[in-house]
Amino acid sequence: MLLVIVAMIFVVSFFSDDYIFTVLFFANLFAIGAASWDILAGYAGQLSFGNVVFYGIGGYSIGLLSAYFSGKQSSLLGGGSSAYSFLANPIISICVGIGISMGLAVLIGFAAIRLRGPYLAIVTFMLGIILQELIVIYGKYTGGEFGVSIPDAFANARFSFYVSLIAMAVSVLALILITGSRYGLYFKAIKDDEVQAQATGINPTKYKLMAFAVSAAFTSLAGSIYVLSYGIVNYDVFSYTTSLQWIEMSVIGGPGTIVGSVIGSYFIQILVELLRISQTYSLIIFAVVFIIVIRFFPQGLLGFIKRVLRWK
Amino acid sequence: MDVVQNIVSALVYGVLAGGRFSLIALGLSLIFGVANLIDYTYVAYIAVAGYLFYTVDPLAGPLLGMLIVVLSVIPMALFVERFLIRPLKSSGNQVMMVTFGVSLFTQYAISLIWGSLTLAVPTFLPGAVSILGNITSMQSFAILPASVAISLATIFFIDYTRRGKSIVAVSQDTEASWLVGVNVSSTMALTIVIGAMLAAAASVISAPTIGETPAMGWSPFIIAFVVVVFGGLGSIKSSVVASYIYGIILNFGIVFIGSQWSDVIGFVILIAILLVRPEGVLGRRASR
Amino acid sequence: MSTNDVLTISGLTKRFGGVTAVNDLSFVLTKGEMVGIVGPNGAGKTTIFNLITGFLRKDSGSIFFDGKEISNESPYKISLSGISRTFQQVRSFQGLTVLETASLPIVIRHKPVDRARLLELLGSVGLSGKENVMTSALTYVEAKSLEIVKSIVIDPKLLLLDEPFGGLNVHEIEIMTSVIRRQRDEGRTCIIIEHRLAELFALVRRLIVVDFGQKIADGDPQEVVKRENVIEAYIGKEAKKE
Repeated sequence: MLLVIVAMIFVVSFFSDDYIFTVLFFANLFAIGAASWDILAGYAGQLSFGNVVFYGIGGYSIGLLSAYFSGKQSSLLGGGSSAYSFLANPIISICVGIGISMGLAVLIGFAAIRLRGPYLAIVTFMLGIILQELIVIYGKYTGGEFGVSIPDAFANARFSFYVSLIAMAVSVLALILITGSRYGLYFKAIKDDEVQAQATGINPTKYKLMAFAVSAAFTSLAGSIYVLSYGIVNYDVFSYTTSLQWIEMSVIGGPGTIVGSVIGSYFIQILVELLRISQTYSLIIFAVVFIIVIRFFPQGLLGFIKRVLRWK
Repeated sequence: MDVVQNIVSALVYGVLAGGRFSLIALGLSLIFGVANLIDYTYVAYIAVAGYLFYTVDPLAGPLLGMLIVVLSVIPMALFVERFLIRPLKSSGNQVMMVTFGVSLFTQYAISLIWGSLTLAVPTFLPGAVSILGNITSMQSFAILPASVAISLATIFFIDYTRRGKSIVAVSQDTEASWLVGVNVSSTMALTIVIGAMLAAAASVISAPTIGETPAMGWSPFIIAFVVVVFGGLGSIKSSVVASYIYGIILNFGIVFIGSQWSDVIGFVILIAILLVRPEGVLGRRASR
Repeated sequence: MSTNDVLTISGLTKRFGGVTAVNDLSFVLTKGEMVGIVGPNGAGKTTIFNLITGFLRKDSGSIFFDGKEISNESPYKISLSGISRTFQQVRSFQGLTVLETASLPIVIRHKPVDRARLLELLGSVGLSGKENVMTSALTYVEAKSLEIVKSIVIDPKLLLLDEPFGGLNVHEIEIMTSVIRRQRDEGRTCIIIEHRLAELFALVRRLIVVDFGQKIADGDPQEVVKRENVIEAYIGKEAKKE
């Protein structure tokens, strides 16, 4: 499985086209988003429809910290004081974003994740919408609908791509290691039979929250990289369509397998570019494919490939 | 004087809002609250009903149009229940995902067919009315009696008819109901269909007072969800009561803090309920 | 309450709406005892297990395990404190292998996994060679046996078995009996809910009969079974129907 990732690195560095770099850049970021969703939903069985919230938090951490503390001019907000300029450092900003995301995950998760039912799904969904509104309400501080731009975005598409590739490789690797560890076992046990898991001595709330926090952390990282590359962030970054895309990628690629999400992400991103039809048509097609896959192919693409390989 | 007037305003608009909320929450209260089925297609029924009404209204007039729309939701609900929900019943997660997919599909399909610009449905009850000094359109006001009427009808159905009681029985103990002779699968189908019809009716009745967009189903769904959880799962009555309480709280918020905070207030209430009293104010316990 | 008492239940009561599932139940279990709980269907036996293991909240009464009141604890904490149980309908982790399931209780308690001992245990229930098979691929009796292994692998102070013989054929019952007998010989304190009286009598020295949530008898199996009220509880229901 790691070979898949490594192989991609090789194949892809031969391309020199900026356009392709952009496509793959998003494929990488969304792979992180999809894989993060998968560890929460595919492994621990907790459905979240609003993981994009953490993506946005990661993005705005970069945007706002840079706007306020970098000491340099950014579009709508003043450069702020450069006294705390270390805060604008990308690495620090990323960590802040991750920290906030994980904290939020635990807080919200504590309310919604203890109960069985659609609560987490709906609460996370609502949170995305709420955050969008809050950004507009406090537009004076957040840049509102227009967003915030950061002065030191990545130089070019190629650089962005490499950063995203490294981030993706690191994230996916980490996620695979977690799912292969005792925690992965706990997640699966909770998902398969929470009652029996409890009777075995597993604290379901603790590990569900753990899965959620991990999911939030990596999603936040992806969001941060997105903004670092594009240089601008606005409230669209909280759109629930992104959440759905990750769910689609994970489900179509293979839920319950981290690698499946990566495959799903690349598959869908590339397909979208190839087809190049209008936005809405492609959205509809993917919605239909999504429904069909859930209904008939619970194992996704990866499961299908595995089955085919088994026949040979 | 000013404060008193504000309070009165909040109460008046709160009750009106409560009427709207209880209407939209009825279907979800039945599907999720009573029958404990998770069905995101609810979002789709609202949107489809709204847009169908937009098309049908000029041709058949409001009353007939309403009837047509509510009836046309039935085949959609049956299809979803039979082919998407029933086969996946063993996994709540899968049902959630597939119905979520259906809602998004519907949203995109609607924007393809009708475009994504906001559409307006002409009002069929002209004029305005003034309640204790607060003005509201006749159209908006009419939602209240309609809501009360439909709520009472639904409560009557659940508590006093055989079909209604079998819905409750099936949700509480599927095996026992089956043993007693209740057709479990058709009861579940019935629940979804009635829920869809209630959603459609609510959407149509409120349609002239709101603009229609392809994503119009989500806000009502969220409101309905908050109300159902707030009131407590398991009882239509508690959802109705909760709607009015919620409507009033919300309007107090609007009057004294500002209307952009409505969704935030709803969210906070939801989180608070989940943390403190998941069984809602009046209902049965959500399973842990 | 002496230190030899593993489980002390007093006045335990649980109501569901209008139905009283467990009614003022009291008994004491001492170390090493293997007790059977029997009673007509719907008598509330599994509810007793659910109350002990924390899956249900009691309405009144008390449950003392190892000297501590446990009736308000979460199920996972009760499991960690040394009470293991099996379920009437076998529950298994579809996505885990046999070995993973069996070692899960050990792993969650942060103890080292003794692979040899695990394999030996699995072998004793007829699962040797199947360590890496997915639980979803097991037969019913294999899944049941795995559940037993999983429940004893961490040496629980109290073992609760809910209808261990349910759905087994003669040969499988023999295997299950020898597994449970081995537990008794090792001094495991155990409560067994069962309907199959013959198999149960071969294992337990004490029988508690429950009807409508109430304890109606408690003593030597052979003796209890001859009592009027017990016979009436079982047969009287049939007679009353006619």
